[in-house]
Amino acid sequence: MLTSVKTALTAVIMRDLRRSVRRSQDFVQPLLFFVIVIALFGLAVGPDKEVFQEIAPAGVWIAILLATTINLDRMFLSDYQDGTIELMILSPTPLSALVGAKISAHWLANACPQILMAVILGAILGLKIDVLSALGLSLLLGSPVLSLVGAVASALTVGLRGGALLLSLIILPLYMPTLIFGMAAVTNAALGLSIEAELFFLGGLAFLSATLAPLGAAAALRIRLAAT
Amino acid sequence: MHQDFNQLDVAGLTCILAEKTIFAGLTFGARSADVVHLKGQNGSGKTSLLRMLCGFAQPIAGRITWNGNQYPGDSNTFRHEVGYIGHRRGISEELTPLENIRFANDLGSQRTETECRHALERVQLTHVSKTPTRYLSAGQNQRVALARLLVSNAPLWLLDEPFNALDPSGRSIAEALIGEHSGNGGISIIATHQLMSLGSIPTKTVDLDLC
Repeated sequence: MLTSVKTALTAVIMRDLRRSVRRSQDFVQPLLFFVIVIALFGLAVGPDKEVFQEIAPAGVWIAILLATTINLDRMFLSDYQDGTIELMILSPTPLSALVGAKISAHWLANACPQILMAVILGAILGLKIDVLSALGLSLLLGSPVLSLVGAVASALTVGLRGGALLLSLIILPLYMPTLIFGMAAVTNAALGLSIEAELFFLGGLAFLSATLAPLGAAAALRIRLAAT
Repeated sequence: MHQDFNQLDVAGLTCILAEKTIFAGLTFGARSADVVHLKGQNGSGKTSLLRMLCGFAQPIAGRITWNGNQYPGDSNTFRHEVGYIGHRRGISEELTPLENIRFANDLGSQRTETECRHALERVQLTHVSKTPTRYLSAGQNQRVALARLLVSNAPLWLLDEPFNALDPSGRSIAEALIGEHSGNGGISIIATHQLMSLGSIPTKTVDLDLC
């Protein structure tokens, strides 16, 4: 039983990563969007280096929230349209575990390149090493929360007409706690204070959502499937 | 491969969609080796019935039992014993036929790589086994879905218009597969408008227009 669950979960992750590579626009476009938002932010703030260094991390966090949100509706859409979700429900492996594997693959293909890009851009923009590492760590712990919580909303709205906008309206308010703790960590780092408490909070949020979100997303998918 | 004897019973099943009764009081049964032909006009509830049997939708009234256990409820394992082909075929367009079969196999049954390749041979798709399915025709995609059934261990096949888009040779492959499944003691429930020629295998007919 355990081997078959492991095989199924690996199969889901490998399949989604393979599909991401073959349909590269799905992760390249949000990545470019992320870069452009940060560039626009730089333009809007102007050339004052000190002011920019102070608020650049906020720009990065907002950019990653938006880039995550624009890509969320695709998390389950093609599987819903081509019937793979039905196949997953009929599998002996629990749907919530398979959905968890899908969310992991989505995080690997979307959030990972964005975090890497954020750190590179931060270095180019001249952020101090303390701030840069706080930004990287807070994104590393915060972005799984964004993917996990986003998955529930994505599952709830999958296949709905105008679902993408509805999804943004549902999800952006739910991202507030992650944004608050993520930014608090970066601000503390800039002031030379400890960032442990914020990182613990982000880690706690990540664990909480990793435990509950796959169950919620699986239930939402069943509801969407029953409605069609 | 299958448990020696399986029995599906549907009693007094009612389906209501958008406040309209699609069918009511539907009762039928199927035992090992049975082939059930679901007939009915467009909108008579063939697809809805199959989706209820899969557990995707709940009936308003009535009960479905699998080997004496009510479903869903007592026996949630029932859904693992279902091989389903719906209008949405469960095939990813970015993946090749072989990758699709492997994925379905990893999700459910644990067959070997050779068996996966053999399933593709059986539906005569070896020559396109490395082409992403988006470049294949509708009929070829339907054949991939049939190959998926071949690697499943499911004793109960629920097929929604399995002959759609198939050419005569694809059709005869599908009929042969259904025949073999019945020979192995499996149950097939097939919703189709087309006539099936399954040779000597008797077919039960359930007409949803009469419910």
